[in-house]
Amino acid sequence: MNDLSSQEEPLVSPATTKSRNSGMAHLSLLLILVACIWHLAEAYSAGLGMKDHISATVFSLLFGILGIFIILPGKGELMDYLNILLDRERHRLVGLSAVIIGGMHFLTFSKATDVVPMFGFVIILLAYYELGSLAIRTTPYLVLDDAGSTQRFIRYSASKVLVALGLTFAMSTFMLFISFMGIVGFTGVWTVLILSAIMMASLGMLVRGSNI
Amino acid sequence: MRSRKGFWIVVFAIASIVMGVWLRSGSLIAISLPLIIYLVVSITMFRDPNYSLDVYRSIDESRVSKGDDIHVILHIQNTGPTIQCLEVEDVLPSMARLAEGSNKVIITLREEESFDLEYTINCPYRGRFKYLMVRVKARDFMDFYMHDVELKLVTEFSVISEIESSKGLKIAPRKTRNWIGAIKARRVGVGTEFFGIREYAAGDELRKINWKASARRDIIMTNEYEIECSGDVTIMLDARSETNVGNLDDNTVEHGVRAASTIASHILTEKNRVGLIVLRDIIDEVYPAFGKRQYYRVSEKLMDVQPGGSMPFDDARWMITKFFPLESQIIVISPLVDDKIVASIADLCARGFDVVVVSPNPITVEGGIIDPSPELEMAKGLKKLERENLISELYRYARVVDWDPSEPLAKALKGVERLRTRN
Repeated sequence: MNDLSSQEEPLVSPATTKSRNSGMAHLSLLLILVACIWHLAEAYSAGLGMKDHISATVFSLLFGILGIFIILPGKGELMDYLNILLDRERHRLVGLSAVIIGGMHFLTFSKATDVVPMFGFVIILLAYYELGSLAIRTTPYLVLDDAGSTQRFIRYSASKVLVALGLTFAMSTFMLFISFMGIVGFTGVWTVLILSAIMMASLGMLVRGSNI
Repeated sequence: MRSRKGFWIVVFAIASIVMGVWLRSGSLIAISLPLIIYLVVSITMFRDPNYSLDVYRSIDESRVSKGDDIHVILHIQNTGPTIQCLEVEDVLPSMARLAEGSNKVIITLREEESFDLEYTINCPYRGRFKYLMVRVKARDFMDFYMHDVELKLVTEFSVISEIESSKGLKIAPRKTRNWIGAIKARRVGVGTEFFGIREYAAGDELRKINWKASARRDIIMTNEYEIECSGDVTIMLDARSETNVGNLDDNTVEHGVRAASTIASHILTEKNRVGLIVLRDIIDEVYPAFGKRQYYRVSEKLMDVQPGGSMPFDDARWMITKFFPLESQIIVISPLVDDKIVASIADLCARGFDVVVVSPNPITVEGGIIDPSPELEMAKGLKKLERENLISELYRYARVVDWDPSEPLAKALKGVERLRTRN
C-alpha cells in the first residue's frame, strides 16, 4: 500500500517538533504490531520457514517506526536537511511497511479459504495506514497547539476514519458471503466476473473524476 | 483536486485480482473487495472540500520597538460547505519569531463557522516587515481530495530601534538659540533659576523685588533669573560597511542606531531641535526640528539603516557645514575605524561646531563573538593601542566617549559633562 496518499510536502515540517509521541502514533504502531504478530502466528501454525517471515516483519515494523516516530538526533544544517528529507518520505515509509507485511501475508496464504480473517487483516492495515498518516500530519500541530483544537480535530477525524473502515469490513463480508456465495451460490468464475465489473465501474468513476 | 490515494487503492485491488487469477486463488481475488468498498465508502462519506474562505489578519500594533511583542489574530471564516480537514499556516515575516501560541492550525470548519488563530510574535531586528500570505490546505479526512493554496494577505508592521533609559543622561548643546527650552543659557531672562540682583527699574514685577537685599542697600533691588533656552543638535551616524563590526545580532552599526535613537529621544524631550545624518551607501538626512513628530521622522530614518557603502566621512562633514545650523552641537556616532575622521572633526570644530564623539567600541563587540585565544588577546591589545591613539588625537578637538555597548549608554555619557570642563 505504498504511495496511498498524495505525496506532497507537509505544510508543517514534523522535524520542527520536539516530540512525535501522540496517542494516534502509538495506536497505529500497535496496529502494525498486531498485523505482524498475526502473520507470524499464522506462518508458524502453517509450518512455514520462519526466517524470511521474521525478517520481513522486522523490516515492516522498522519502516513503520521510522515513518511515524523517528527524528534524527543532532543539530546542524545537515541534520536539519536530513530530517526534512525524512519528513517528505514519512507517508511512503508508512505505506511501505503496510505493503511489505500485507503483500507477504496474502501471497503466503493465498490458498487459504477463510476470507473473512483476511478482510480483517486488510482492515487492520488500512487502519494502521490511516491513523499513522493522521499522526504524521497532526503531531506538529498538536505539539504547538495549546488551545486543544488539534486534539478535538484528531478525535473527530479518527472516529470518522474508523467508522469508514468498520463499514468497509461489514460491507465486504456482507457482499462476499450473503450476496455472492451464500444466497446466489455463484461459482468462483462468477465471483471473479462480478468483482471485475465492480472494478471497471470504480475505474470509470475515477477516470471521469466528476464525483471522486 | 484529487490526491493519488484513490488511484493506488484501485491499483492494489486490480493487482490482487490479477494475482488471484494467476495463482487461481479465490481468496486473493476476494481481497480486492474491501479495497473497492473502502474506496466507495470514502467517496460517499467524504466530499471534495470546495473551500470558500474569508481570511483576514489583524495586529495590535503596527509600529513597535525592537524586542516588543505583537499580538496577531488571523480570522478564518468558512463561507462554503464544511471543510473536513483545514490546515492553515500564517507564514511569518522572515525575521519574526513566534513568542507565544502557534501560527499553524489544523481544524474542521463547518459551514459558516469561523476560527480565530491567535498568537504573538517577536521581532528581534529593526526594520520594516511584511506578512505576505497564508498557506491553506483543505482536504477530506481520508486524504482523497486536496486543495493547496497560498492566499495573498499583506500586513505590514515596522520595528524601530529600542530606546535605552535616559535617566542620568547628561548631554545638551552648549550654544543655545532664542527659543525657550531647558538649558540654562547664562543670560538674564525669563526663567526659574536665580541669576543675580540689580537695581529696581520701572515696570519690574513686585514679586521679583528682593526685600532683604533692598533693606541692606537701602535701595530697591530686583532679582534676576537665568533664561532657559534650547539648542540644536545634529546626530551623525556612521553606518558605512567598514564601520560595521560584529555579526547580525551584535554589531557596531546596530549599537550606533540604538545610541542615536536614545540620544535623539532624550534631546527632543529636553525641548531642543534635533537633526540627523546617516552616512551609508547614501546620505540620509533629517533637518532639525522639535517635538514628537521629529522623533517619528528620526526613528523612521533610523529604522532603514543598513550598513553599506564606502562614502568618505568628509561628505557628511560637507553636508553639515552647508545645510545644518552653524554652531550647533554635532554628536558623531562612529566606531572610529576610519582614521580620516579626525581631519573632518577638526574642520567641524574649526567652524564653530561643538563636537561630541560617541564611539561604540568595536574591539569589545568583536571580542564577544570570537572565542578567546592568546592570538586574539594579542590582536586586541594592538587594536586597543591603535584606538587609544586615535581617541587621544580626537581629544584635541572634541569630547570622545568610548562606549562599551554592553554597558548602558547613560553611564558612558555621564563622562561628557566632565570632559566639557577640560576644554
